[in-house]
Amino acid sequence: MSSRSSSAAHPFVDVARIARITQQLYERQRFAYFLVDHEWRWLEASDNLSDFGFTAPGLDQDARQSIDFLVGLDTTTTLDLPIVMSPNEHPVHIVMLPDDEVLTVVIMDASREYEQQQLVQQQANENELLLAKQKVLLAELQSAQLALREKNAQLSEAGRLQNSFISGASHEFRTPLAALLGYADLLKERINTQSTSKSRDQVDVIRRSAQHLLSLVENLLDHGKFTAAELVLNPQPTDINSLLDEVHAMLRPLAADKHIELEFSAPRNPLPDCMLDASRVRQLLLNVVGNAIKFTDQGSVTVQSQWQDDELEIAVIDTGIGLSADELQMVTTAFWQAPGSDRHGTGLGLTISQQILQMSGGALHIESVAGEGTKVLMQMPAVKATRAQMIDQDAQSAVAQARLLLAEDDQDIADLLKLRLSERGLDITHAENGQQVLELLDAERFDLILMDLQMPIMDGYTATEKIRTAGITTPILVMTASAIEADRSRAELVGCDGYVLKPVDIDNLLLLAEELIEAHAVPQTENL
Amino acid sequence: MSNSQESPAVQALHAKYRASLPDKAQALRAELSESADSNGLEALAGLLHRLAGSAGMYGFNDVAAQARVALQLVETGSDEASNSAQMYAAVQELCVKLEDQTN
Repeated sequence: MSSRSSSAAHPFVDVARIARITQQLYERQRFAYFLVDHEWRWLEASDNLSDFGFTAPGLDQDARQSIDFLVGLDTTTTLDLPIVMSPNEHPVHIVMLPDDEVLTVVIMDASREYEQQQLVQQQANENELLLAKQKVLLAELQSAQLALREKNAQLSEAGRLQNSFISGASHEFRTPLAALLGYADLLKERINTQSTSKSRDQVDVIRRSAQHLLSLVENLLDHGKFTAAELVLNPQPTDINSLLDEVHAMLRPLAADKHIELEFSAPRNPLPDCMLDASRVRQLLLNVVGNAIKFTDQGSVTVQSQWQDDELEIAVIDTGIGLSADELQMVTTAFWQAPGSDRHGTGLGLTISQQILQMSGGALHIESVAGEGTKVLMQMPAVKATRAQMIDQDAQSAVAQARLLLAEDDQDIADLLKLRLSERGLDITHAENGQQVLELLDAERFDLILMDLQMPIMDGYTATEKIRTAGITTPILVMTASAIEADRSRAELVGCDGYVLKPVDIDNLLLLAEELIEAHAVPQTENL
Repeated sequence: MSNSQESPAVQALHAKYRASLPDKAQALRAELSESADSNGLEALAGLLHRLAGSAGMYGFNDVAAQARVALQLVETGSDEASNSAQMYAAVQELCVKLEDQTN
């Protein structure tokens, strides 16, 4: 390899650039060079120029004739081409360094850079490929997510439809069943006095069967309400002792039928009146104690209760068939039935009991040994009722015992009001027209008169006028289907104390009745 | 139309009322033809008034609403032929609603 004297270098050549190229030359080990003057005349070249596929022309020959890449350039061009392909397809790095006299062209091996570049390119290609695949997968994922969302929506809709169906069907069953039970009650009352014990037994079978079906339907309905989160607890001051006595009385015949003992143990300390939803606690006890009786064929069912630190605990212990460990896991699952059991219900009793307890902030615990018996422990928060709450409750019960004279000519309306108000404890006397109202008031005293306005023989306006003229101050509530203000004004004018619109809302009616009875009672007391 | 909180006795009453609706439709139709003959609408208005009240009480709200519409037309009078036709149609529609409840 020949070299040119360093004294030929131009004094203004970029020293940093020369240093960098020197460094590169050192690193590459393989390099060649050639020099031309500014007329492109070949001056000299390294011996290994042909290794890179370049052919050296003869001395003073035009270099462009054999070195292609020089064509179109000029000899003063500074050029740095990191990777180009030499004539023999070898990757090379070409640097052109002009000075005043010559142009030095250095050709370095660029295999490593080329490989790296190829590698980077390959990596970039692979990245691009991965990105494309990622896009495809992402699209598939999005499509799967969409399908899943659609499936979820369909499942949710199917669940809603199922609940709606169960709820709807239960309602449809409930009405005729309730009618069956209601008529069986009426029939039982009638035959108690007139018929044989066989007939009474047969009616009892109808009643018990209807009651059983009704309780199954009630459970289905309640389950639907829990699922739809429609059920709301309504805690009221509750006498737990009376509630337990009531449940005991209701279930005693069931236990007696199976010849097992049903014992409600007296609590160590008396149970206070607490804020509880009495109807739901009753349902809870009927479910759990009823279940215990159902699955106990000999021995006893014992109910223990205690109240401590604002919590009521009721334990139901039976000597029944018990549950295996696997069955215990499943026992509160909706619609679950013990395999092989012939004592089928809806499989909802314990589910609903657990839901009621959880809703109240309490819990249901079950311990059981197959063949030995089961213990169900119900824990529920039960804040002691305050004195004010108890007084309020007493006041309501005072209204509930009021004597009410109902004046209504339509028998359908009268029957419904009589029944619903008497269920709330009110003592109801029915008159079919104003004339009868006056006759009854002559003979008896009432706490309130509920008066229809349009009646035959004597209407409500005339009757009210006559009552007030006779000096009778019993509060009168009128019922009207008419929202026309004139009706009400006229009613007030003749001495009515208030009005309710038909269809009558019983709770609203009771509130108004309470106000009127209390307002009427106070002046009378003051006069005494 | 009774709700699940009501007692079996109340539910029985509801069932009895529902079962009586076709009879009520028949009574209305009879009264409608009677009133057309004698031109007296008081008895028909009385029936409609009671039906509007009782149907509402038993939860048959659409029947109650239709009864109120018919009652209003009856109370307005039937001097004009068009009004009379409307009244007739409203009572007939009410009768159909009453009969539909038991199907």
